[in-house]
Amino acid sequence: MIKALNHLGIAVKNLDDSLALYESMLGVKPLSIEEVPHLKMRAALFEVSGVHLELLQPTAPDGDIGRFIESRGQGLHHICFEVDDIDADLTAMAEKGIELIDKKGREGLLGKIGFLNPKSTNDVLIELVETR
Amino acid sequence: MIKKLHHVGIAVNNLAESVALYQRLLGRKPLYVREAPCQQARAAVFEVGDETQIELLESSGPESAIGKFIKNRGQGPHHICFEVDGMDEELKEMAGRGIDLIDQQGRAGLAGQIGFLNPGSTQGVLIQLVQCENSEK
Repeated sequence: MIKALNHLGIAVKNLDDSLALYESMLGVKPLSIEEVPHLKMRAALFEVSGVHLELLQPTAPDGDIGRFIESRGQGLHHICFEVDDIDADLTAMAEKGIELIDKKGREGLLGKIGFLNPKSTNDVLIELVETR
Repeated sequence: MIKKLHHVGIAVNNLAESVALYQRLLGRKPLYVREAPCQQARAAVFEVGDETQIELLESSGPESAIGKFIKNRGQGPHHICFEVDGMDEELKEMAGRGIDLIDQQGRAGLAGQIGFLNPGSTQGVLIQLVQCENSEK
């Protein structure tokens, strides 16, 4: 079951510029900045009263974020909902007729994650996370 | 000061279909479905958890912001909205930090007084601020 909005993923071209922007807007520093080599990106996490903003900068043009920016420009990339049990929730989504990108949870930044296919969610890339 | 993430706005081609989809995804009915003349749109609002909302927006005119967005980019995530205490003051502060504004002053929106920042100065993300009607301040 979807419990809450966990975070928004935002594709950015230059993480340093984006850090300056979000620090200025939100008045807080990022919780963390890390390299995510297997996803070909660098990520910075901000928190706004319990919801995270995940800024994602590609480190190679052929990763998901690199391709997204190439085709659509920077901007909102995905929405992530928090669930209790990633594998059970992915199965429940499939039973409701929603196509999955990930049939089972895999390791992500904030816990075990799985993506739904945006073709069956009105072109919104939706991620589910079972947090650690 | 930005207090919290209030909602995420999503542009959709067909509100009835999207309401059905989000009912399945979220396992609940929308809080409300209504006209949003301020954005030339029809909106359906869902609650997710206790704190945040998902706002589905269907264009109600070809010249609307949502209509133009869908024409250029297709349906998908459209804006994010942060809740603030004092709208006019907050817009002024953002301008003082070098952020271009679409609205120099708050205007009536779905959840209260709203104002948009110019995505040209927020790295392609359309950011809305809202001062909620039921806000204590």
